[in-house]
Amino acid sequence: MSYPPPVGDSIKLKVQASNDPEEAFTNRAYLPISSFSFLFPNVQSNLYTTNTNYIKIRVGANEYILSASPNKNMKPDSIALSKALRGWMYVSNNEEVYVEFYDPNPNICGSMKVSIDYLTKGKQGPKQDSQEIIGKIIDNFNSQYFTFGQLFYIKNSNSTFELRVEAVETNEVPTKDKGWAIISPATKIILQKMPGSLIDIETNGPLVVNQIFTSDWDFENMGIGGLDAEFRDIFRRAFSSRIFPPAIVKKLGVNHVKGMLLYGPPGTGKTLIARQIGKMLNGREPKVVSGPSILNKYVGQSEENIRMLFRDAEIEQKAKGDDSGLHIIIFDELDAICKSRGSRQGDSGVGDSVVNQLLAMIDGVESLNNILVIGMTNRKDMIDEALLRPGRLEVHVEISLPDEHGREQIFKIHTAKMRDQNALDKDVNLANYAHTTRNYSGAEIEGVVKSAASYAFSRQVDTKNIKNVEIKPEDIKVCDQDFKRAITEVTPSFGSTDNQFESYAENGIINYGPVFDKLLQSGNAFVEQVKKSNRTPMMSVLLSGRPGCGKSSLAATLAKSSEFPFTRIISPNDLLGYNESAKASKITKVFEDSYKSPMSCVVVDEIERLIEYVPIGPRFSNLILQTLAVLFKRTPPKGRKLLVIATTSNPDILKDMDIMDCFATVLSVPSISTAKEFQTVCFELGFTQKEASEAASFFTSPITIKQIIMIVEMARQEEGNFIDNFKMCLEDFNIRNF
Amino acid sequence: MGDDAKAKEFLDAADKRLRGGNFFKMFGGGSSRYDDAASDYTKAANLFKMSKKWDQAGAAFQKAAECFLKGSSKHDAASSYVLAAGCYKKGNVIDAITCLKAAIEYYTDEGRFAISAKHQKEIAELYEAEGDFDQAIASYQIASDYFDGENSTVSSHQCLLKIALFSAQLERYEKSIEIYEQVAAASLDNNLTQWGCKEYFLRACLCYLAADDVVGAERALQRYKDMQASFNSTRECRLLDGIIQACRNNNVEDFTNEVAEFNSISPLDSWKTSILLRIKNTINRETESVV
Repeated sequence: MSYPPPVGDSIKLKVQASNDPEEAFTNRAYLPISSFSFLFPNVQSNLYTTNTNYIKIRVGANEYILSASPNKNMKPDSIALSKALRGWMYVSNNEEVYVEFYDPNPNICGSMKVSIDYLTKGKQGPKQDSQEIIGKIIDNFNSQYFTFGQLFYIKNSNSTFELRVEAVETNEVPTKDKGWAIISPATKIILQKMPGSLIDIETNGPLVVNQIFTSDWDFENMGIGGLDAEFRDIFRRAFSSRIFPPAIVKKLGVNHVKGMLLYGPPGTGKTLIARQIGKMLNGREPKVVSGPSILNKYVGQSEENIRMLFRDAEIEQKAKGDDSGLHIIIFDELDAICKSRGSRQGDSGVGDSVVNQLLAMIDGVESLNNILVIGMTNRKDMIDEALLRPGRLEVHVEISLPDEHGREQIFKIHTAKMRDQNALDKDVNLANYAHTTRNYSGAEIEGVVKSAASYAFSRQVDTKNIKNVEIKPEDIKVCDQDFKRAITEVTPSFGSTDNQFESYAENGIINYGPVFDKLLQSGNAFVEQVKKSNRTPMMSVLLSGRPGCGKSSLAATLAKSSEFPFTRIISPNDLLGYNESAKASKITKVFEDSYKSPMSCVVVDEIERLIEYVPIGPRFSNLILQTLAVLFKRTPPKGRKLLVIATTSNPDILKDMDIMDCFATVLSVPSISTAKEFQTVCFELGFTQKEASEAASFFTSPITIKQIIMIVEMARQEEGNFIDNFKMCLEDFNIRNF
Repeated sequence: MGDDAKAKEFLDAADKRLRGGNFFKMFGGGSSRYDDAASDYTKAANLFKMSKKWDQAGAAFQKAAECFLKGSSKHDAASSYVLAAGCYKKGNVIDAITCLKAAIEYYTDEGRFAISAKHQKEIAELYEAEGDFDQAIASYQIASDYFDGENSTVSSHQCLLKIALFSAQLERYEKSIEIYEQVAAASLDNNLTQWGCKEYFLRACLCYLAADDVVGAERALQRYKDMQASFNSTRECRLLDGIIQACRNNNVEDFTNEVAEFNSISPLDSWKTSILLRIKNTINRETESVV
């Protein structure tokens, strides 16, 4: 490509390299004396080395304004430009350029922004004084023209620096040669590091906020129902310090949080949070790995996989230092790889070194400051504790079961599309469902919505003739009834287990008199106390009485009528066949689960059976006993309330075993001890009024409800007069018992 | 031993024939006398050759050539000069070159440029072997011109490439670049030769860098990529991209890594090694060249 030679007094010169390094540092063009005096006929030799002899260089279609000086030893028709100038003008050696005299236009530079790096990129050196460098720029290049993108060199403390003009601002709007400005001692020079530079220098530019979040991000659109508080926590601990420029954070001596642990029951949105964190961040995608995918069949390969995860961060940290971007590594199911070391039996310890590797990567000797590791687990207790200390996964956020408000949000999120499509019936009341679905996790609520939708779909389908499906999309409406049925269908894993309770009080409760009334009242009083009082989050009650006196039924009834969202029974029946330690851990698990619900009731049935007590010996399981003793006294986490109702038919043994002290109160459940009570019970069991009063006359000694029921049933099997049979059976029973 | 003595006899006989001069001239045919002498000289030369007396053999051939000239059988004279040069080559380069030049003079007179180009190339090779690169370049240039005149492009290019090679060694990079670009441009159209272009591009670009002209190299590389689309994906191109970047960043480690990577697949010849060394010197970390 060729351009026509410019008109006027321009001369054609051939580009060559600077004659010596000193010339290169002046940022001037050097001309042979003949050319120089042609362009500047009136300049005296004492002004040869000033910056005020301006020339305009044309390279192709571009024009550049530079200061010029003569050099005696140059070939005629050549012009010497430094490497920086040639790089900036994109002109190669021996290329021909047109040079002409330039009449300066006084565009005084108000401020100039310059970025700096070592000439040798990637070099590291001692701390540089930015004021000194700015002073040199002003001194050396006073009254030279500069423009955006211009490159020049400076020498300071034995190192050479390359500087690039990022912006020039003139005091007044220039009349011509826009974008060019003359440096004067009044010019404010703003120095900043070149991107990726490792130069150690105090920059004086304006502080820039790190753009780690996408601009259109807000909490509402994230679709994390009921986790606002948790998310705010995460934000404050892990991200807020990273928004500030590294320089400020460094000044305060604060290290960023490098790790975070999200824990909580399954289905509560831990993975969802991790996914959303990825969405809200600018640029770099977080690496999401599920714990088990790290593991490999070869010894050492798992550790290698961990190292690979951190490699990118390591490389960037080395290259950019404090300016490195944030690398997020998310471990789902962290407990799979970070089990407490030495906890696995029959293990060669191969897995332990994975933990060690992770420890070293997060906060080892060569620690990275540009990472954020987020671990997620529903077994926090299994995670190696070294991983949980500050400096590693130091922020622990519990993602617990959502509260009522949260559940409503979750319902809204999952029904949002239905509502948009007008597929929700008018009578659907989400707030109501949120109220009834106590202890439902996010995933379970999603299940409810799915189930409700399935009812709506099935209305459209004729089950007798499955082929005959007439699809009318506008007819698919999910109604209130669907949701209600769905809620009964989907049971929460942390909810109450109604079936179990019903089996304990099969025949209902028989109120046989004032003694029982009092018992029931005080039981209910405890329930109320746990519900209302904030000072007693933990209540344990022991019901004692003879076998068959209705302790278990009473306990089950109390638990059920309490309407606590989480109710469980620990009964010897369910633990049959387990060994000692398995039993202990099952019991512990129930209590651990109860801590996840805001209000819970645990019924521990027949303590002496649980601890495997037998009077001959005597023998019992101390392990289970100690477990129970601890659990009965342990206060649940803040905000959680727990009522423990235990039953025993042998309180003396418990006293000997020192477990009585664990209970706040002992309620003794008496047997039927008066004829009046006996009569009431008989009446409740289906006797006529007359039969009942007659039966009461047979009463001789205290008897338990269970025994009465048994005797009544026995009498009913016999032929003949019912009352006579009853009398006979009762007498028979008394003789056998005494 | 017999060869030596016989050769001397032939020499004497030949000398005698010439000395006989005027006497013979009066009686016998003028030219046949020279023919005979030349024939004797040739025989002597051959005998010297057999006893490996190269210098003497060369001298004898030269004399034979002179006789042929006098006897105006120019073709034979030129052949003899070539033979003489063949013998001189073994030890006496200067005389060999003189003989070849005499032969070339005859061949060019006759218009036989192909053969004169061949001999001109031989001269250049002699200079090259002597280490006289200036003369070698000049001779190769003439040879190339002759070849070009005869339309033997490949041979002409061969000579030009030699010139480029020596020019670069003499730090006349401009000349080298010009030749490599010219040869590459000419080779592009030919299906057979286009595969060699990447080598020329590589060398040209290295010359730019050796002249410490990074911008020039970058622009040239862009030009080459445009000239030959497939160049973009070659290892040569990757090497150049890498070392241009390294030069720009003044980074010696990157530079050596790039070169080592290239070298591990296609080993570098001595020319490239020396040019690369020069480039490496331009990006010295301590002095940090800025000119």
